[in-house]
Amino acid sequence: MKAGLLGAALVAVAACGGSDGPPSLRGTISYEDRAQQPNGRLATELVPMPARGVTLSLINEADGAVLTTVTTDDDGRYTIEFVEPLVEPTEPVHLLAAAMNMSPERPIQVVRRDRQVFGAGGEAFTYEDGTDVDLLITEASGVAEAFNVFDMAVDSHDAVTTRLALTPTPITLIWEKGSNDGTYYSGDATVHLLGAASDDDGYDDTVILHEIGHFFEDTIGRSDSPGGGHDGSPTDPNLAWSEGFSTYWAMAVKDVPFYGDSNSGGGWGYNADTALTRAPQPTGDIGQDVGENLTTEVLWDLGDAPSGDDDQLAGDHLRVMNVQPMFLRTAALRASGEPGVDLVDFLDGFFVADGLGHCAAVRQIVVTTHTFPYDFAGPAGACP
Amino acid sequence: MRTLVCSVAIVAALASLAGDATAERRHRGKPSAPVSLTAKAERTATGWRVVVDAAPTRAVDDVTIEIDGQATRFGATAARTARHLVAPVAVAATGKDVVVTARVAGRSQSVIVRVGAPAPVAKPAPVTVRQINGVNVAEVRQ
Repeated sequence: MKAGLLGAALVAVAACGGSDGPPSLRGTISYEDRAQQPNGRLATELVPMPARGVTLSLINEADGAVLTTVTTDDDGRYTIEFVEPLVEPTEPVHLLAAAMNMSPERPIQVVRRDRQVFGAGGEAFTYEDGTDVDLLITEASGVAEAFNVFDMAVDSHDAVTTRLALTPTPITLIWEKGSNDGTYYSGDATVHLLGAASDDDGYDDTVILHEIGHFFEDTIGRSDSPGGGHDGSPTDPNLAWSEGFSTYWAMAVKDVPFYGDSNSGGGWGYNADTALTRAPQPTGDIGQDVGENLTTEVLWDLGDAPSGDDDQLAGDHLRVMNVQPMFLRTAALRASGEPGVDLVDFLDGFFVADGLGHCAAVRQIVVTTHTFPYDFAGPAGACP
Repeated sequence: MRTLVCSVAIVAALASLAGDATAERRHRGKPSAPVSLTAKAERTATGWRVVVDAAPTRAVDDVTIEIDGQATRFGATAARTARHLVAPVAVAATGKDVVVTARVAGRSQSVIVRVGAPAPVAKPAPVTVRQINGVNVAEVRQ
């Protein structure tokens, strides 16, 4: 068997054969991944990662009939039990992993530009009870990145489900090798990702999660972003908030204060815990233009915790995330600063949710460190 | 000198997203580098060269341009002032993809310039479309 090919189904017959339960087929589905490095570049090594929550079908090799379909678990494991009316196949079959999940907890699909879901098929094999059949989705197949995109959506949906106790909304992510369509959230529960030779975001976990962060804003929280470019320069407060929050979302989901974006020249990385972005006018208006990084860094400092922390607040990312659904989604925003959601409105909501017990620590982060002139006079009341 | 055989000028991707307010609202892109980058290949009397212009969108302390892995560092640069760089590139008869990168304010943007013979067209992997739970799945096998 040629190593590194899609469909390198590794067949290992169990020593004893058979099992105690009904006749079954088991195995593990994985995909080749490249890890992000602190400088934004991708690792040169390919590492197999479990394909969590993907749809797996058993296909009859001769006529292409779909015999049954199951879902992999969080280790990429699957089990197909042959219980009536499903009978043990006697003809050659193969596995087909699809980058989709139709459950309420993980409603995700990763599609090509023609909107067909990515699928990776393995080699044909003849079923034997007690046999493990694995499938490694290789980079050489051209579809491994689609399964990485899927895995990032799993991370985000799991954060919504398990940390916020909310039901996620179905999401579609479009990525394809060679695509020059751009990387953006199009506002219709759809994320678009570059697959170009000069800039391919299929392995850029934080870029994928940044765009899913915009989806989160739309479906769980609120955004009044006008959209458009953002390059770190001071910009419209609604845009800076939306972009800064989305980068924070990527970091909070991964629990690492890192954002990276690879490209054909290597890439770039950003650490929200060590970088320092200040407001341009420390004594200016709270509706002033700010950089998106200021938002990300404030949110990270409010959400992170010792050890190794560099601020006075023993934070909790759940408290930060929760401001979106608990306050921004529904609250009437006060008429101060820039109309629409921005950092001021988030801070208002943070105090509404958290009370006024951490005023000093928040003041140190927002005003002293980042020189943003927040007035601490939101609907929760004035800080002492 | 004949100019521009097989490359294109490429502008920062987000610039292409400009449009009406509704379209902008729908398109929330990824963080970009504060630079407008264009690159093209030109044939010379003795071979090929790559011509690059990188203009930061705001005043920056430093602009670095890399052509085919060779970095050239410029100093502080005013907003919308292009840094211009020309570099000869050695190209075999089969042609070459040359990576051009601009590094500005801790971020970077890259483009690829094709120099010489056109790149061979990659043959797409065969796909079989199957219906799984009512959804079209494009299956790739090797």
